[in-house]
Amino acid sequence: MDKILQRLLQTIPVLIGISLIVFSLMHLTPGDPVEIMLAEVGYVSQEDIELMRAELGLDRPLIEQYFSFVAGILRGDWGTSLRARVSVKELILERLPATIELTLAAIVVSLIIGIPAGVLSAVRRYSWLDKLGTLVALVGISMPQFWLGLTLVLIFSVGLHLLPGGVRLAFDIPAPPTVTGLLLVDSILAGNWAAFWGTLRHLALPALTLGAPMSALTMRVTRSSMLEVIRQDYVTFARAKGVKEMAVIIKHALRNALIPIVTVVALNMGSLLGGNMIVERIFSWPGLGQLVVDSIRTYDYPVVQVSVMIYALTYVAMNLIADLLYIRLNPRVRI
Amino acid sequence: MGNWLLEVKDLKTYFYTDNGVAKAVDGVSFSVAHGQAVGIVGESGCGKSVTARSIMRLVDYPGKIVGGQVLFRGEDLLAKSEKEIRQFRGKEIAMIFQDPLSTLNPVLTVGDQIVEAIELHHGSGGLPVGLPLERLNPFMRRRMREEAWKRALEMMEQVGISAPEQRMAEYPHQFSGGMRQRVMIAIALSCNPALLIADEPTTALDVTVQAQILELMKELQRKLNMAVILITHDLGVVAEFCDRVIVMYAGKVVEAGPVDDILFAPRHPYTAGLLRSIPRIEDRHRPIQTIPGMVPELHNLPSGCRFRTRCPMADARCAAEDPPLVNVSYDHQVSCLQAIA
Repeated sequence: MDKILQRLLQTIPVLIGISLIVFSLMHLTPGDPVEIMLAEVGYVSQEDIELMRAELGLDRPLIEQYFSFVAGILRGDWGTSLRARVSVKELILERLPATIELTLAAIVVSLIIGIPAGVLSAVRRYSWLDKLGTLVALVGISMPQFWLGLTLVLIFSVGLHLLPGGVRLAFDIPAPPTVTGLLLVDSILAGNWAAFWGTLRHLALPALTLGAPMSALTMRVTRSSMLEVIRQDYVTFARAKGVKEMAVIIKHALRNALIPIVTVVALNMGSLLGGNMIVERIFSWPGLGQLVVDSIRTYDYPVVQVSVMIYALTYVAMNLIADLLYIRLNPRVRI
Repeated sequence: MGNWLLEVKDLKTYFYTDNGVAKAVDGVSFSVAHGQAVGIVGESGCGKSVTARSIMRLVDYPGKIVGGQVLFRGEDLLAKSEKEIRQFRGKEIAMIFQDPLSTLNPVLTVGDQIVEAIELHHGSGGLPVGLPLERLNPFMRRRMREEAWKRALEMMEQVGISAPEQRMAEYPHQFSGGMRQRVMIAIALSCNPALLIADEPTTALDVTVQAQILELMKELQRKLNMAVILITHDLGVVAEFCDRVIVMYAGKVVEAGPVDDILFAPRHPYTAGLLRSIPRIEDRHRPIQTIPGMVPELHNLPSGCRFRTRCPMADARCAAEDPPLVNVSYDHQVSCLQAIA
């Protein structure tokens, strides 16, 4: 327990650092948001600009601005979008569930593909299956996501008419009432199987696109970790006990191999966050990624600040989960 | 000759590496009687461990058993299917390894690892071999699990681990080296095997702990009337433990015989060299004698006798002819042209 608490406390300085960077980012980027906003209106006087600055609190000293920014974040008052003129909180909470659902689906895809493929590759090392897996993984890692996404749409949506190529749910299916915002969960809660199936079909291509580099990475890490573990004496000893090969691989080898896999995979989940922005754009996914891209383009810095903060927090959380799982999986570091 | 528990005949296990074929075990033959303790000795890389693993068909890639027979109670294990051989592993033939820390699974509790072995073969104290349907019955499963747990506790006590109930819930890294080796012995013996293959069971342990473990193995061997193949490079261990000794060099048996014959009247120059290289307390002012040279590379062996490059007695004949393994006295075989001349 001490170890877990200690690990939790370690995140505090990281969070402070993140808030500093996020705050200064917008102040270091060229371009004055007030001038850009008012430029749309046409001619404005210097007075108007000063007035606007005061309204947004931009005339106060930086230190003061920083503290009111942090206090606002903690209070749940995330400011107002400069462009949409609605609260940032509303804007983001509306978009966040779509991104969470897509990201979770991509993680599931990457684990379902990556781990079994990696295990198979390691067990049948140097076979044609292993070589094929290595080739596919290489393609998966090196293929840019925008290209993969477009290719999948071209094949499965445009060509074969098998899967939808955009948005979360077709317009002719009534969406379930919002409880969690995750359409899959909400449709189960409402017992709306048509919506569930529809959501699943809509998720398939974006999740595959987003999860592809992760599956390739997971597969490679699983393969090398398994190869390492399979050589160990305890695997031979398990065989010598008369344990079935399948149980040797899963119970004795994979359980040990998972320890490094968890760390590497969880740390690389960060790449999903970046991928989100591209994949959401391709599939018209109404998520946070699209919002961020739009907000950056229009200097809507309150939205960008909070979104970047959320990305950073997610990353910190992933790290934390990786460490906790590591402790859970590895009795040697447990107390 | 029909009474052998294990007969290994002309066993050949080769490793196919990038540097060529390494003949790690090249035509090894020997037999083990019921309840007998046989030692296999030799330097590192002489093929003794590979021989042991070949008996249980546990040779890993790139190694391959390419020829010979392993007859266990008259049945050829090398001809069995993967499923059939599993009935022998752990139940009829058990194996323990050199380093108990790397041999026990670090993420499973010690109890789980003993219970697993017992459940696999339903132990001897457990329930009769269940039908597949019985295994699915949750009530039967629980009873089987409880029986296995009880048997595991018994085994822990038998190998001398105190507070077994508490220690069963612990992980291997929480045990000391000697205790780990005891756990391994408990796992190996939990199904009353007829043959135990111990691959350097004491090498990784402190000298005092070594003696305790050997003592324990000797005691259990007598109690369970079990045959043991003890693989070691320590002739002292052999002297204490074994009835018969097999000396291996570069993948071949060079000498085999009763322990007293081998230790006091070795016929092969390699065996004699091994014995001379043991430091003796009464000779402490003389430098330790060694066998000159190195073990030849297994994929690049000399012609004729494999030991001739290091042998003080070698002559032209040794380079030309492969020495056969012949009887020099009752139950004592040597493979050396000079010794039988």
